[in-house]
Amino acid sequence: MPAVLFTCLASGLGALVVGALLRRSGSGLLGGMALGAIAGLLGSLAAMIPLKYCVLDPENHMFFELSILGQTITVNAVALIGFLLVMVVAWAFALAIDRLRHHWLARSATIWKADTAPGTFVGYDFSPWIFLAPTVVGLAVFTYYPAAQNFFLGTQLARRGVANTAFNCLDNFASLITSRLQDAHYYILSDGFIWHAENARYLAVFGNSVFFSVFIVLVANVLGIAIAVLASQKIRGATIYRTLMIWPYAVSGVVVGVVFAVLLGGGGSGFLNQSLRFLGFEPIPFLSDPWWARVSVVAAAAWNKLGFNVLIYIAALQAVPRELMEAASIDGANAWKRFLNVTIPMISPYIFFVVFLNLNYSFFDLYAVIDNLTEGGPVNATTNLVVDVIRIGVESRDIGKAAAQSIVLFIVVIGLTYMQFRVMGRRVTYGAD
Amino acid sequence: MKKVITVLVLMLVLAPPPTLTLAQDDDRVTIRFWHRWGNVTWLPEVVEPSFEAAFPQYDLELRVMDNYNHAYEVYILAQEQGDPPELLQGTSSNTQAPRDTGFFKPLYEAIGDRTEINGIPVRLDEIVGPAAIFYQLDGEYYELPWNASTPIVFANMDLLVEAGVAEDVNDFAAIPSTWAEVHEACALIVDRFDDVDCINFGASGWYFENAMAMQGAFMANNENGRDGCVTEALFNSQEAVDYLAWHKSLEDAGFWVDYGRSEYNITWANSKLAMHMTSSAAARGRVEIGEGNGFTVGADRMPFNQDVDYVGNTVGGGMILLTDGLDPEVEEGALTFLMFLLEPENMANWHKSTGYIPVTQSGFDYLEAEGWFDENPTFAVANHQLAESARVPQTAGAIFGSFAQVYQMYREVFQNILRNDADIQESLDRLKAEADLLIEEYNLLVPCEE
Repeated sequence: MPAVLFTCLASGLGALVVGALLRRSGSGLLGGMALGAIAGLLGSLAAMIPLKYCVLDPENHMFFELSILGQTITVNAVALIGFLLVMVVAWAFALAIDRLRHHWLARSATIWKADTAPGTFVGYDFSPWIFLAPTVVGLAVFTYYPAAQNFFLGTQLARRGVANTAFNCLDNFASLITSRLQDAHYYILSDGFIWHAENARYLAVFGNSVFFSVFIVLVANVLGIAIAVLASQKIRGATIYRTLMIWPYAVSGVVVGVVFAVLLGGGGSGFLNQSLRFLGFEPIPFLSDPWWARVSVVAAAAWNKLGFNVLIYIAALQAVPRELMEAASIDGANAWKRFLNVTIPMISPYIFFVVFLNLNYSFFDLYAVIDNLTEGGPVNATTNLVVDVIRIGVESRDIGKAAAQSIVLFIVVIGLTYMQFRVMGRRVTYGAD
Repeated sequence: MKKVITVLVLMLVLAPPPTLTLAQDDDRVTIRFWHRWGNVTWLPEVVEPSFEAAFPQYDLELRVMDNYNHAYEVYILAQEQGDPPELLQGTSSNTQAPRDTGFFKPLYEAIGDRTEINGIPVRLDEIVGPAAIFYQLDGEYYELPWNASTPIVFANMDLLVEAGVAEDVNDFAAIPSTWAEVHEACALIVDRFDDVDCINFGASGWYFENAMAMQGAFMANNENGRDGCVTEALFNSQEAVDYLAWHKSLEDAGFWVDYGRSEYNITWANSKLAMHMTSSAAARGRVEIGEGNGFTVGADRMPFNQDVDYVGNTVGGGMILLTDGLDPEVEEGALTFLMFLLEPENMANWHKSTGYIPVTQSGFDYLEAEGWFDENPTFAVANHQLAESARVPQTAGAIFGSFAQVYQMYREVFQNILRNDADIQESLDRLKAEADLLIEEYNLLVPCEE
């Protein structure tokens, strides 16, 4: 009975949400609602049947507390994730049904069109599928199937080297935002906090990833552009300087981590601290203080990426038309205004490209730097999402939980890429016109 | 023509040397041993040729892995692909999980009641102290203890003399051996030097495990799992709180300093660190750095709680696992190699190359007869410490499948106590609760057989 109610609720919600959204895009309200109801029904069944409607299991007791404007409620984490999952799958179904409907209408119009030109193929053309088959098969075997397996693994209690597995619903996901042991508490505009979380370990790890991404991208790009501008000046030996500046990019993450560990080491042994002591200053706990450790990781990673960024920005600066700069000068723009209003818009496609690559690096490729520099410490201060996945999946061999984290990482990357294309893509100027 | 010559030259350069093909002998039985000792040249340069010379019917293939975790992970993959090596080096912090996989054959089953294999005596009954009970269940060996170590304190004796802790550089007895003595010595050292750190050791599970054993405390219920299945961790006992309170007091006083990866080597070499508590297996490295930088390296036991009776230390390091399901002649070859490693001369050379204790009494006697320990007293400390350790379940180490995973959690909890002043009892209660959950999950997948 709860399962039927749950499905009906999903259907109703799907009808409301999808109906409203399709109405906004110009479709009819009733049609949208009907489509939403079907999608909600199918989405609920598609998501919940493999999960055996486990989110409704009264035995499930993974909760967290949420305070909004002083009101505290207890949220069942498994049910919440289950509901979000149903909504996402329902939305995917709605999109798919809508796409199919459009496709069917368009095809009907073509087939039954009276003035179809002679020679127009009106039957279903399978040839594209034949040509695509090798790629599709490759992707299916090596990408989609493992990805689907990962989703399945995320719902299991599973360990490397142990033959048995056990279904554990969405506990692996729920344990990321709460725990059976710790009372995770999230505050939104409550208790004097705009936003605050207690005992939310994964959220802290997530925060580290965001911190690294924002600052690595910022530092590596601001410095990259600045150095590129300097390196573009007509000075003697400019080519040698440019070549030398690219070198950090050729260094692997492991070497970067080790070099910075030697450079920044605490306890008086690091080169920088030795120098500070020599000059009469107190050593800085670069690797043993949580905030300094984060700064150290950002410095090491940004240095690693700097060479590549400089290379791209030098090329970008050379592509800025001289006439535009001259025209701006004649109009009275000083060097800073020319840089801000002419150079930056002209190199914006390059900035977009570099930011995109740097962001991916910050999220996915930091493991070697972090592992060799701070090992994720102190107290997890430099543990990011990828380090955590590797630690849990490889070092602890708890692959069910690691799979759940991988899926979260996957969703984050899709979201980030989408946002980046939406937000930054609009501000990019391609061409001089 | 130029192109043809270039191609020919390339073919000549890139072609494998003829000796490689000539060296193959199809009749030989291949014994593959995956280990993590890439930096110990003694294995490929001495052991491999001497084993193959003594037993020409075997072809020993050594493969170096990055670390224990990597070795085990790759081994599981090799098992899944149906081509595992015959022998794998495992770690002391991951004993039960490999046993539960069914991939490995207990050593006692493979050896049976034989007293020699291929003419080499079976020396399992000679294995010393806690190294013996650590890898035994009900008195039977599951794996071969090999690279066994124990935590000891290495000291820069020159610094200790200068600080007034020791009278001369050979006064190893002056190295603090109790928790209180560490405080006293550190107070003198910090007072004497502005830029010397007193003591460094890892905030890790191994020292915690040893501190518990030294105080006679169990890590898990049912006598560390030796008298029944582990269903509960006992990390929040008074003994655990006392150890962390001591560690925290060292940190608060500025006596204990946290270093990053490998940083202690630089600090140690520069005589900026007075004492370093680490694995006895680091003896070779510690001493060589001292010799290279002109200071004397001393060593003494891991400091213990002076307020309770000393029970004993536990071993760390690793062991060698034998793959199950091998052809009889291959298994015989693998066992031959294992027994070859336990030969007194090999045991002695292994110890000299690293600092790992000679796990057999005959290996120890061989070294003693040579006068090795008289000449190198630093290397004798680990054996003495383990010889003094009682053979009781507390020093045998806890056995439960998720032990390695729990090990990962220690570091996080300890750092939280040391760095963020987290309450010790509360942190340990939480650690215990999380460990209990992992034990419960593991027992769900691998039901415990009493």
